[in-house]
Amino acid sequence: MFIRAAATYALLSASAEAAPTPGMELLPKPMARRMPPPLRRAVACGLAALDHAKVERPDGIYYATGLGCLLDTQEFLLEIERNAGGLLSPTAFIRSTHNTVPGLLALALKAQGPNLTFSQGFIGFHAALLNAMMHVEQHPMHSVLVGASDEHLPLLDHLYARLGGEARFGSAVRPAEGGAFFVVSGEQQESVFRIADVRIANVDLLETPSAYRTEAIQAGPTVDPARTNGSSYAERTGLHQSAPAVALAEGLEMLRTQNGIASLVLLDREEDLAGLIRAERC
Amino acid sequence: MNRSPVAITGIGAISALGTGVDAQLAALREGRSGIARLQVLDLPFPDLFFGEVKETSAQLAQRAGTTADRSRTLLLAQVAAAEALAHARITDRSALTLLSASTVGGMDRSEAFATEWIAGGDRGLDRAAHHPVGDHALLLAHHLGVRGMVSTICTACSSSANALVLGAWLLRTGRAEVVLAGGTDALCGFTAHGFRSLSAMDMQPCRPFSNDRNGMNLGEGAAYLVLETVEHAAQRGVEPLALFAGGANTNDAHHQTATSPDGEGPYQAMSQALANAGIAPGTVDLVNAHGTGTENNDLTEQTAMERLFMHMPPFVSTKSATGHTLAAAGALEAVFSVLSIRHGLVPANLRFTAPIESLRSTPVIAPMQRSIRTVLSTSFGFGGNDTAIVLTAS
Repeated sequence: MFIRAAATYALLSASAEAAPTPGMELLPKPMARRMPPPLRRAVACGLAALDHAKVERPDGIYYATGLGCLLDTQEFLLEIERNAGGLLSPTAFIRSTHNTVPGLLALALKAQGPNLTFSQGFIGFHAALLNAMMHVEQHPMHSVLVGASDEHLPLLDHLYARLGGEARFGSAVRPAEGGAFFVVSGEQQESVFRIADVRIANVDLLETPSAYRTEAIQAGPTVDPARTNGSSYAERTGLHQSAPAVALAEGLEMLRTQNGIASLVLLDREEDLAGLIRAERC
Repeated sequence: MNRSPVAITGIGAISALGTGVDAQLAALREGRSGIARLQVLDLPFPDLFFGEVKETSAQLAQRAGTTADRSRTLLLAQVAAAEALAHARITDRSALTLLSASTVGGMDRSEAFATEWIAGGDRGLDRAAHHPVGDHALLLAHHLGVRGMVSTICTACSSSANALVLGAWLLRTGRAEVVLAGGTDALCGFTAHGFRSLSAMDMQPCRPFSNDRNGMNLGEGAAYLVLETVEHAAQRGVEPLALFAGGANTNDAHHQTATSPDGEGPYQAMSQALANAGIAPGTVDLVNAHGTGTENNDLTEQTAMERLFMHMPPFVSTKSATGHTLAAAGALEAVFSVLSIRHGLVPANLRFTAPIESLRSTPVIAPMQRSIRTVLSTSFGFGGNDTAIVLTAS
């Protein structure tokens, strides 16, 4: 599966609110006005990847999120508390489903192909990528959008502190917002990179293969970098469950700019479920 | 592309109609409804009707051999998934793939304290760790000893139909050996408030496809199916219950919650699913429709069906008996479709009084016996998500 384009964004702290998100100018204006900022950023990033690839309408959209549209979920919970027994506004409820981002992308693009959303902690993006791979194997000429995004709220900082996040991940890793989208195809065309392998299985069945030792290995926030002889990307991407997608976008940039590295392996874990992505120069 | 049929070798279900597949079959045969006022759950909706599972979480936990301090979403899944695996005689779960669907995940337990956490409070924080929707699938995998791929599919009300489509895809591409696919959702305040805020809830037991329909009743439940290649089932000496012949997922790209007036999305899902299965519309013996009972869904779905079929086959919404079980609905109705094929049973579309104005066909209003070889089952969700699957006799 060949990667035609990528776009990514990351908000590592609240003060980085002004950091540019790709694709904001591509959002249909009436739609953008109704969307809360985190949703706007995620949808814009998807549109940016398509724009980079010069694809007007993807033939499928495969998406992952760890916690879904958190801001709208929070808003509807607060609405219930404020107005229990009264008339509630359905706006936040409508947007609270995990498939809101790909649904809005389909709506903006009139994209009527398959539209799937996965959620499995840090291993959700891997399932989206695997399904994109199955799609383009079946239809090599198709261009498919695949990506992931997660929001950040003060609530997550509170939970992170109270549930021992800092002790587990170290003080340099903070909860954050971010996402990345890729346009993939079964035909190489102008592509420089390809996804060579995506796997999801129990961690015992997915030990780092010895053949990968010489390659660049990036370990996700829940993987011990020492064990994989690689480096952890969580300090750069921030801690959110779409971090593997952001790390893949970053990793492709590394492959592009650093001579001597031909391939990249990303390893992630969610409890005892492990995910592996291998990308390489074509 | 490999479009070979996939064997369904085990089914498990729990819904307002009862616990276990036999209870579902008995209720469908009798044309019994599971929709009533809440009897077990402590939720603030005395004015609404629900398709509630009439067992407490403690009873479900006992049945599943686990503790009750978990989301009801998980407990329902444990009961149904264990039944499906036992039915398929799957004892070695080391290579099993689990595709599970849910929309609410741990919300049934976290909603009690969530606004306190938002305000910086600490009560009930242990529940926060189990809030994410994917958590139920990991815990279900632990419970069952699954060591293959685990993934949660979240496409709102079409979620578990998509889990089945993906399961077949993984098998057809040689990426899985045996797949346990299905979905689960418990009733909770969040979704009940949500659908009520959309004015989508009937204040009476729902009346799908009836001209006087006035919305849905929310339900809860779980259903799982064991899928494997026909060859793999034969090697194990297991007779398929039915075949998963094909499926398709499309997007209506019309509105975040409503279907396009001409039912284009549902039409595309149904026609592409039949094409994927290599089956002509004229050979469909029964449609187990999405049929939520809302004004928009039933009108557009029936419009799409009347466009697709020159002669309308019998069609029903079993949500008139179970309520809308959200992410569990596609798999639950797939289980019902297997029962239709196995037992020659056309279930009833309850409480139908008159056909929708402007449309000509009417659903089946009482259970019937007839030979059924092919069932088309539909599931549509928020985000314009439309899925149809085709099951056939083996």
